[in-house]
Amino acid sequence: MKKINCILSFLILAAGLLSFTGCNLDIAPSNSLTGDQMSESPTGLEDIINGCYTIFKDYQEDQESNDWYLRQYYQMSDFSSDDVTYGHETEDNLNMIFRYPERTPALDNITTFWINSYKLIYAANVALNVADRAEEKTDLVKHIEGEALFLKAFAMHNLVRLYAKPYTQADVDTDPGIIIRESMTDTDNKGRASLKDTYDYIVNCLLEAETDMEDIDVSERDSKGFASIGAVRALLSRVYLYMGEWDKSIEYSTKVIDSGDYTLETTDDIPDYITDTKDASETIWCIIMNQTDDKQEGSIASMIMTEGDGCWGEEGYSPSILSDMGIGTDMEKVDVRFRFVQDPVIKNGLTLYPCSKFSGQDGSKTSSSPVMFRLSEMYFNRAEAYAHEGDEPDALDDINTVRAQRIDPSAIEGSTVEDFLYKTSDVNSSTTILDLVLKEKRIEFAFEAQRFFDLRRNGMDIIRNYWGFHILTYSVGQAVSKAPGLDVDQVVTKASYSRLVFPIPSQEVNNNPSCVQNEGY
Amino acid sequence: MKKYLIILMLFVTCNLSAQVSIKGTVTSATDKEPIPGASVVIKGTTIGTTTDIDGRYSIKAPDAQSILVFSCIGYEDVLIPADGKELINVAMNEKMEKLDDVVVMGYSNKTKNEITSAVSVISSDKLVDVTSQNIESMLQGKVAGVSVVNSSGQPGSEPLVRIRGISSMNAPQGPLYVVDGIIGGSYDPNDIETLTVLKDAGSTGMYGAQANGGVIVITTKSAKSKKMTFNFKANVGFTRPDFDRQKRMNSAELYNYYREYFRDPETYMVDDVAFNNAIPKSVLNTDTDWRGLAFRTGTVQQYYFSLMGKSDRNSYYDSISYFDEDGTMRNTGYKQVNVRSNNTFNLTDWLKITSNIDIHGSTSSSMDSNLLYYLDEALPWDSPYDENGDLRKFSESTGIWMRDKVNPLLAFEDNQLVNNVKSIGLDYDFSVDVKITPWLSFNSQNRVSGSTDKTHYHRTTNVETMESGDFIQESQTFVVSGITTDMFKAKYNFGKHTVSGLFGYEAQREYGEEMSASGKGLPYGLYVLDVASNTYVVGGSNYTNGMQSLISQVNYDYGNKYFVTASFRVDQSSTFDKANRTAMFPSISGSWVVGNEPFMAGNDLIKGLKLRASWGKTGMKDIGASKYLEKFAYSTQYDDNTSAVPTQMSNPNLKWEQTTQFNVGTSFSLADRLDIDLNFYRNITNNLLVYRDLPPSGGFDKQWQNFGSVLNTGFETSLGAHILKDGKLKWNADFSISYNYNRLFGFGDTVIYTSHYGVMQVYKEGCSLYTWYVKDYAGIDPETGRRQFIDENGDKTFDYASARYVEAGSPLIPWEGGISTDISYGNWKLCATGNFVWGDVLYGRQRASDLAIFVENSLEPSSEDVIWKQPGDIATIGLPAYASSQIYDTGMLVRGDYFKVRNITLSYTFDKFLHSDNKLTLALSCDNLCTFTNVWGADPEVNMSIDSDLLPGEISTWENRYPNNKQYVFQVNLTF
Repeated sequence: MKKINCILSFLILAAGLLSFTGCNLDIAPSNSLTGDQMSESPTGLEDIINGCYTIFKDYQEDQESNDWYLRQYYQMSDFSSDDVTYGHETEDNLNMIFRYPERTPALDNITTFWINSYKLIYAANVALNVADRAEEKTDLVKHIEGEALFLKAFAMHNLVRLYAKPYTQADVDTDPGIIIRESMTDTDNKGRASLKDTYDYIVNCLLEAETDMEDIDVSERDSKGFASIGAVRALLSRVYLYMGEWDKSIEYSTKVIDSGDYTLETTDDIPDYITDTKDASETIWCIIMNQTDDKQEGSIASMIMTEGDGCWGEEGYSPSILSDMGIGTDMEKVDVRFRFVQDPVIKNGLTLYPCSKFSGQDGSKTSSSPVMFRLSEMYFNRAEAYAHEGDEPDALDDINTVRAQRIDPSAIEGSTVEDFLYKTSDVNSSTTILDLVLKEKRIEFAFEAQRFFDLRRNGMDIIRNYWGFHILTYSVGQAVSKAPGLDVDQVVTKASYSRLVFPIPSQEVNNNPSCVQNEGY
Repeated sequence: MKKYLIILMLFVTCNLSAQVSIKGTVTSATDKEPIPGASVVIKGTTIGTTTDIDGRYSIKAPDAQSILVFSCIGYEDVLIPADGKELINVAMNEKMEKLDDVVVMGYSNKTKNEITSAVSVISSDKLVDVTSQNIESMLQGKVAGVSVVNSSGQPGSEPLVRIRGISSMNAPQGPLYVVDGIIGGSYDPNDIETLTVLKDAGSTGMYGAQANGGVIVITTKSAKSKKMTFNFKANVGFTRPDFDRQKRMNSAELYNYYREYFRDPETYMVDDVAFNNAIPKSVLNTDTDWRGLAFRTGTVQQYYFSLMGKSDRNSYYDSISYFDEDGTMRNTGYKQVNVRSNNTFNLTDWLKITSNIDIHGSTSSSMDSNLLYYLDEALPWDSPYDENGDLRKFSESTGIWMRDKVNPLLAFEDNQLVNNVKSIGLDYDFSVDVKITPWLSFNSQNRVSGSTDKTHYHRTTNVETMESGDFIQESQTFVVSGITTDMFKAKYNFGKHTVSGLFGYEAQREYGEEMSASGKGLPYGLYVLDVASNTYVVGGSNYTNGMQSLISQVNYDYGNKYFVTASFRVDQSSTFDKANRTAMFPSISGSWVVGNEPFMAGNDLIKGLKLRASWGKTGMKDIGASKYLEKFAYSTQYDDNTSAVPTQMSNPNLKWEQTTQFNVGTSFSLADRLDIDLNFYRNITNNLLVYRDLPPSGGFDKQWQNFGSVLNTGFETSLGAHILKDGKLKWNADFSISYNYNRLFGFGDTVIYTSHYGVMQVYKEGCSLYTWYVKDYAGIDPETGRRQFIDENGDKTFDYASARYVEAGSPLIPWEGGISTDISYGNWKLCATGNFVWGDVLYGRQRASDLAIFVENSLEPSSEDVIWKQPGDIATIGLPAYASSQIYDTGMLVRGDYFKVRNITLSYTFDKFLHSDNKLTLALSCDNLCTFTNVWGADPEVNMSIDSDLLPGEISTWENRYPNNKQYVFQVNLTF
């Protein structure tokens, strides 16, 4: 009997010991593919390119809950401009977007945008790598390759215009641009390319994308949520404008305008435009955020829309832009773009006009599919290039083309659209044609990440001659009956002020010693 | 084998002949039975022998004047001069204290004498003074070197336990729990017979890769005698939220405070016209106590019933317990049922089978934590009710002062916001002990566990929080796991030598599934997924992890005086890639029981003196599965299309975090009055598992890597005093204190920062973990009322941006300890327990002005706070005009020192209640009675977990955590 139990015991243990080397401990995750599995997936290329777009709209793992690409994109550009009143001090780091002197390289929001941009560039490089290895270059592969090149260029241009000096205001050969990542294996530490090399790289990506996507028709990718040849050309129009290449910018703006693929929204449509951007004829490319992508209290709208239902309502149209729009005049009745200006609320002694440009999709106050490019911008890019070339009539024509679709004269009896368009006489000794173009663009693109760059590109000072928490000493008890004088700290910021260029995040500089920090940090 | 030994011993004995030969019998004075194995030594020599099975001995003394020392565990030593006698019979008296209590060490049991490493044992009666359903709360302040942080009063929440400091940056730190000898498992606190805390590698080395956080070994009850014993316990009481040091302002206080906002920064005069325009005096007509409306007196009740007994062939223990707590915050609570059945069967004299089962179910209800935030923010000037006395929506009302238009009380209405977790679990243990030969046995311990839990959350459109609209979400998890440990155990005596050991194999595997679904658009009055009409989101995944190990241990003791234990464990885990999957964990420890040496015999001052030392390695791998793989996540979509996002880059080099531990210690008692236990340790953890920042431009911002080292070194002292032990009045007191020093090294020039908004912590060479890194604050300028800072040049400045950063202490606790005392007089007994913490630095001293964002309610200033009003004022709170919520400086740091009275219990025992065998104890018990601290605005027990949004040791700017409770309980304990 004892022998039996002895043998039994040994058997059990021996079985265990034998399995010590045999037990399978290679366990793959259930909701992710590993790199090896990915390369075997027949739909890998499409999955990866679609994944690139998700980076614009998703919270990324391990990041502060309210930071995501597009929210930071609008926050960093618009809140840096003179379009927005900062009406309620908050713990969110958007505080330091308004308060230039308090910007530091450690800020979460500035870091998150940088991280997500390079994550996008990496993902696009993975897509390019997979496309490169495709056995057959079908139209689908070519289209996706074009999309990947475009997304990479778009992410890079957004980086370079936020984290480097404006091209037209810098020594492009020596001033640093951003770090260029040529392929998915190009991940070692390296320094920033010059501004010129950065822009040249972006342009080359786009030209290659244009070649890829020319004359092909791929029904699977036929959506305004995916980049198209129109989007590639629209970005070329924008990038050339930023480079001061007026002719090229005009050429590409014209290509988009004349393609016939897009038409301006009309006066009737514009107020509802935002509720369905992905089907609108004016949209060239938007980021589709469906019902499940509604970020609610972390949405773009949450910052700028009237309080309640997920919105904090802490920011609003500034007195500066409202005055350009003609608040208190007839314009309030006829310019349909006033429909985005919400009823004012008093907060901390400040009158805040919330903005509804990111609200209303699927009936949700916090849902929209933000538009990256729309036809209107092509007219403004071309008008600005014409203005720089001294072609005043063509510039006026272009801005009036857009303006005509934004004016509803029926609100004022007996008036016509023409009454409200710009005339040659509007250009005079105090207002240049460029001023006029930028003023109209400001009205058209309020809260759409344009104004800050318009001022920067043209070397203009930022004048925020209104009360708000961008003024460091503002407090509720302060008299707010009159606007702050130009001598008040933070009212006038010179175009040359170094902290208008965002700092390279310390996470990059600390871990990548060859990456230089921007001046003034 | 035995024969040879006897021959050998005879041979040795022969060699020593030609002296005086003495023989006799050793018996017990109590029952006159012979004592086998007693030691007989000639004093001052190494000559000695032990008694045989009949208590007989024979020894050769060098001369007729020799003194014989008889000793045996459990008996008083006896010294007898030979005086030429050849026959000496001895009757030994039993010792009063039982030195040979068996201590459960996990894989093996040892007597206290045999233990060679730092362990602490707590018996159940010392544990269950506090009324709680978790063991962690009960441990607080009771074991030297064990730190327990109870940072929430949410019913069912589990406090954080850390043993001997914190040794990791990102990997988990909690101890490994071992129930009835098997890793993992569940239990009800009332089922616990003993709890052993293994603190150094001498014993934790046996648990290898899972033991960096120490090991807590729990043994559930089993029958002690053949008499069938029933036990019934009931604890019933009530609870109050502890807001003692975090009161909010009332209507008038807030009104007067906001008046300061209208003090002009230039003239220092209050502009009362502007003030009255902004805030009319009519606000004083309302004085809402928001907390009062959301909190209540909670109740707690706990019932436990057990019966146990045994026969020659089997032994059983069965229990059922029920715990029910209604939290102090409305709509929160926790219920738990636990059923256990322990059965042991001695089938033959060589085969023993143990079959234990534990079934437990619980349900827990909580509220959104941001409701606490809104309750603190809500103004006493606003009424939650409309003119009809119904709760009103602030977003639809006018004249609301509160900055966020949220009426938090709406969520407390019936069914408006429900957040609960229901869970049920089962553990079944099956063990077989086979005695193969008298010295060799085989032991197989196995456990299968299954558990599932279901969470339900919904809120209706009527609820106001920052999240918009209605929402329903349910999720469910299902986990099964199994573990088997199969060991050969051997024990062999020859003469004074005892060798024992074990060798075996262990395998663990866990498989889990989870799924969740959510939606919106709930119809009125219905709260299930079925009725959600839009925005459906579903999720689901599964995981597997596994580990297998070889375990071995050898123990040697000589003469019950010298002990050596060595163990060796090999672990393989699925956490790492093939090449780094295997790790080895050796340990060695030894002790010298000086008290058993003949030269200590008869020393009445120092008794039981023991010296110990240990060295060994342990590890940590619980960072989650597949962190070494390159991963593309498929958990998202773009415009409803399948999408893959690169989320992780591969790191095939990822490997175990390993701690090398060294410990020396001693224990002894002084004059039978004072038991002393001292330990010194030095633990170095290498290859820290760090979730490290990368330069993001490479495409990934973080990666799990092994980097740097951390040192934890310190000492622990426990004192147990029997101040009065004879007579009717008895008084015992226990005191423990420990110190831990923590330093990072091996970082070179690398500096790692973590931050939560502007609050930063720094990890670098020579710093303690979690060192605060904030701006240097220099007080309020008496002339202007502005905040001052120190800049890079050491000068004072008002400009926060140019202020320098300083390393300013750490929330890691250096000094802590506990004190407990019990006094009994006849059947009356009074017990008290307290614990203290000293030397940690917390972030979040809440200066009222930094809080009072316009318009929110504010913390009441503390008695030390002075508000600046005019030039010359020495103040702690500056002019509100300069207040900012974006200031993170050393002025926000506060020493976290505290002393808490954990428990006071007064009890009376009826020895012969109705019947001579019955015992009834009635007691009144208060938990968390009072706290002495300088921390203002929060409970000084602050979250130290790295899994939280907040940094370890950070108090949220708004104290939005569930307050701890004060508990008053009536206890009944009946045994018959």
